[in-house]
Amino acid sequence: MTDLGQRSDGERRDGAPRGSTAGTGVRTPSEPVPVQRARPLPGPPVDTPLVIETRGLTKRYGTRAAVDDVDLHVARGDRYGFLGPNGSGKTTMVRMLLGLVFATRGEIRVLGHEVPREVHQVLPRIGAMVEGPAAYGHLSGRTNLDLLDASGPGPRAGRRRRVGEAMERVGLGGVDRRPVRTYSLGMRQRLGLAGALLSKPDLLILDEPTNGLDPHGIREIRELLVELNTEGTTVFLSSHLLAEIEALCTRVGVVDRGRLVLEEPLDAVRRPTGRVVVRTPDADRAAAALGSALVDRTPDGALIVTPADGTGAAGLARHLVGAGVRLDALEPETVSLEDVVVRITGPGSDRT
Amino acid sequence: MTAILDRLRATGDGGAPPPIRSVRVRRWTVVAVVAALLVAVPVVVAAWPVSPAVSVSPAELRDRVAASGNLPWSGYAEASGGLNLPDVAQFSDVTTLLSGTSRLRGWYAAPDRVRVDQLYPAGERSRYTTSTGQVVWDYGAQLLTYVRRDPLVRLPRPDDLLPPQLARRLLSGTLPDDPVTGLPARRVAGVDAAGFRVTVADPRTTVGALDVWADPTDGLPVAVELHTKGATGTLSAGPVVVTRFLDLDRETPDPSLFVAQPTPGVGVTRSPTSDLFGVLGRGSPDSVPAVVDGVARVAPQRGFAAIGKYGTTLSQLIVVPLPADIAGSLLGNIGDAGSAGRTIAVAAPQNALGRTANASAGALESSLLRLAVLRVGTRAWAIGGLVTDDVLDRAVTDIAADSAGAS
Amino acid sequence: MMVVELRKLFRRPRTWVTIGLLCLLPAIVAVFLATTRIAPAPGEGAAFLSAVLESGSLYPAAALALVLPIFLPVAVAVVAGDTVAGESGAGTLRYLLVRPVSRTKLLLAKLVSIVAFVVATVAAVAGTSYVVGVTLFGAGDPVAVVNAIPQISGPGGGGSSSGGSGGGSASTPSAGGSASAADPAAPAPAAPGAPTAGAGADNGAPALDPTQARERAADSVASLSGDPLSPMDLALRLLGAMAYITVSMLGVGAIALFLSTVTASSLGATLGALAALISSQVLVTLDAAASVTPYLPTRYWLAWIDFFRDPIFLRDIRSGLFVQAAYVVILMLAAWANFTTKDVAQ
Repeated sequence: MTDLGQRSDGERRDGAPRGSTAGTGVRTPSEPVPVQRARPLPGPPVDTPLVIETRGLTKRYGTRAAVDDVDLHVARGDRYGFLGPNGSGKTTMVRMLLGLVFATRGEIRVLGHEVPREVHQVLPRIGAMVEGPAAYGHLSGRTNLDLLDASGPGPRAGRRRRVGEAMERVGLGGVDRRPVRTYSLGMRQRLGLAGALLSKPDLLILDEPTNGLDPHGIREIRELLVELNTEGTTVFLSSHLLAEIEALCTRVGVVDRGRLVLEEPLDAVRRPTGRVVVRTPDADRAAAALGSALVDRTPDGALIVTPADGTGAAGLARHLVGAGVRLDALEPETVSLEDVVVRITGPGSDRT
Repeated sequence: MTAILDRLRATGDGGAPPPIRSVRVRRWTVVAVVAALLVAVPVVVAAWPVSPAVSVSPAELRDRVAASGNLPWSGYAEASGGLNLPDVAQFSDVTTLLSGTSRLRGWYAAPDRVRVDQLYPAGERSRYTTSTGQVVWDYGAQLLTYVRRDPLVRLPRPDDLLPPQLARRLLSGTLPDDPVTGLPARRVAGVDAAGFRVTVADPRTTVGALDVWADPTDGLPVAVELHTKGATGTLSAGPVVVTRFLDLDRETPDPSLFVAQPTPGVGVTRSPTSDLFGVLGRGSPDSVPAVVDGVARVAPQRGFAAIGKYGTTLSQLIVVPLPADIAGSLLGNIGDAGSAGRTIAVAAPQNALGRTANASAGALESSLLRLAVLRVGTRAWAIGGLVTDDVLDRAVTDIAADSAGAS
Repeated sequence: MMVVELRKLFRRPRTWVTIGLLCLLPAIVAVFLATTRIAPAPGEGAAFLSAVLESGSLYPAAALALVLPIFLPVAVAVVAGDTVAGESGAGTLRYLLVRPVSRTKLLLAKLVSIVAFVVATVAAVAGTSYVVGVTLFGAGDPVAVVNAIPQISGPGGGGSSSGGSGGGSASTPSAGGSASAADPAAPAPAAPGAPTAGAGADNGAPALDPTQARERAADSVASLSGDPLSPMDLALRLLGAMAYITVSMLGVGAIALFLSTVTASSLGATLGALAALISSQVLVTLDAAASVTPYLPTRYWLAWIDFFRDPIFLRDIRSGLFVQAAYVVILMLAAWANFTTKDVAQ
């Protein structure tokens, strides 16, 4: 889904050549990417391909920075995963995007409009779930959605239909008139999602949307989000669950202690390292045959090998088989998202 | 409110959007300014310079006030007394009147067309004065009383505390050569009122000075303050009685307001008098002496022969005969009244047969009003007035001596 | 948005329970009064309570007097304190705001819903108590009047007791009673002893045809000033009093609403508003605080009674309206300044 053309557009704007981040894939706080901040955001925002863009966004509570100097870029059509451990500032970030929390410093543009000043022009085009669902417990789910729709700017006409469709879409179509307080957490989560979908948004901002859902539900929601995305909705999803992001997203931003430490297409993060993992019952023989090409041996007995230039895995296989080594498996080594995240982020701030 | 919000938004449009902190400061400033304005309005109105429409000399104003009895008005006044008198059974109405704040609504068309409502939190007492008598309505008792006549000498009532009534009544007790000085003008109930002070020279009275503010054009009093004086003649620091209009309308009130309309179903009764003195004063003219403390008795009013009135100025003394049992309970009350009560030593007089009657006397003290109760044998008197202790003591002695001579 | 807030308010069971409780208290009092027929001494107890035995059509006024000092402000503080803080605590606030609902509009809608709650409550209390009052006491039954008079004027010519009534001061309209109690030897005045209903009927100045009087008594009620109030007049004055009480509650509502934007705890906002009210009530009675009392929100609360004076005494009513308006303006502005610049986060 990542559109390179759009992406480079965005990169050019903040003046950082694409290569500088793609080279390492990792930005650590100690080596900040040079970014021009003094320049104001460019003129008419109508055609910007960036759906969410922040510059130098900072939120301080007292002396502690919950969000620290974040430049976020979410392009139209992205399924953007905003990943970070608990307490890393994800929710604060989401709240700032929606105008619920005011930034201490920095600028935000959402759908081409400045937030929070013009937030009322963009919010009707956004569906959001912030930090878990909430509803009036004494009312039914349908009534809750009806009230929510009535509080918005939408017309009265078609309200029943809109509410019905949203309920249907999240799998609550068959629910009766019982009050929300009797709902399970999963049902509430679905109701919250239905609320976010009410206005047929161009942008979905979801904070931990699969909390409390069973695996079945998680898959359903994931499929729903992909479906919405292919219909043209940009999805911004924050989560502390690697697997969720990995399974759903096309781009990933990693936040650690308030700082955005990585923002890459998921494919770029998980690119092959160029090394090959060799699994063999004849490990020692293989090691001998490989010589200096052997980089490492994993605890479970696999060998990490840097193939000779140009030969790749195929050449390596022929070489090993020629040396009389039996091969169980031979695969290109890739970096998992988890590896990246664990390497670049510290322990969650809930650990002291 | 929305308009202010929009304006704030509009001003935020120029240049970079202001950080939320400065928006917050600005909005709270709006709140503070509006709050300050709202609080300041009454303060500014009160502090607005007062400029009476015409300038009148204090003496001239005093004359106008004295002659203001035919000016119509209606309004609301609050009167408060700081005498702190203890509650004494039969005189509790008077003591509470002079020790607290009374809220009064009045309508006045002529001396015999007056209505005064004393307001209570959840009730009312109204007194209608008509050419044929008075009508008293008591909401608490749900009772309308038609009163034929009250004596001229009577206990103070709430309606006496309305500024015009109080000013005229007290001024009539001052002497023409009591010094009159001007006071700074005041705004009272929307009237830019000129003020004057009459300093009462008479050493026999406790009244030290009378401050009156009145409409300078026609002399309608709108506020009155009463100062007492000490033994050496120095005025009290603050007034002991204050009354002033808070609302005043100078139109002639609607005549229908002066007619008491009994609601069907409420109690209606008739009474010859509504005043305790009116009841006590029915006895023989000989019940009180002809001269007390060297002052001769003023000829009694017909029908209230037993009320003794000595003098016509502020230092006048009033003496009425009391039933002995009431006197006993009053003396008991005075004894319990602590510092406000005082026992007066009375030499027990000998009667004509040479036998000595029991005599006892006590006085209720306040800086303004003093009231003594004297009992000699089976007879008793109440002696009151705005007089000093010496005058009261001499009066008690005189009456005790007179009682011996008379019987 | 207003409609949404009203739907939320009136679909809440708590709203109805509150209104029900407020209606219940006057009903209980009425049942006790009707069964024992012991009215509080005139001038004591809640306003008008001494008069309801005579006419049930005054009972709405008495009922309002019963709930006004504590029940009604507490209910308003609870509802208003919950408005923003409750939504914030339940998390629904953030969903409203991203709907989007303008924060300013939300505050105004909340204010409207508070007003609606007060109007509904006052109307419910007045309505139920009218029904209860007329059922139990009749609408100005003259027999009840006659029965009530001996209780009111006290037994056996207790002149001092009736003299001390109605605030316990002023000269005695039943001085005849005073005199006879005070001086048995004195010649009896024209109306000796306690003025009885019989004496009133016999001596009543404007001679009335008894049947006609009975009919008029059946639908007339005395104002505080003694004049008869026709049912229409009474209804209008009652409406005026209800409107004034509604306005009186707005100050409390605005305090609680403002605090509700400050704290995330609706209980805290409610208690804060109640603390402000109690302080105000205490200061109003304190002579030493006389310089600030005109500014206190509860200073003119009792002015609704002035609607039942004749002519209506507007001074305190007017002042009360100004004070409440000032509180609403300042506190709503403060709520706006705070809420529109506040982070919505737990």
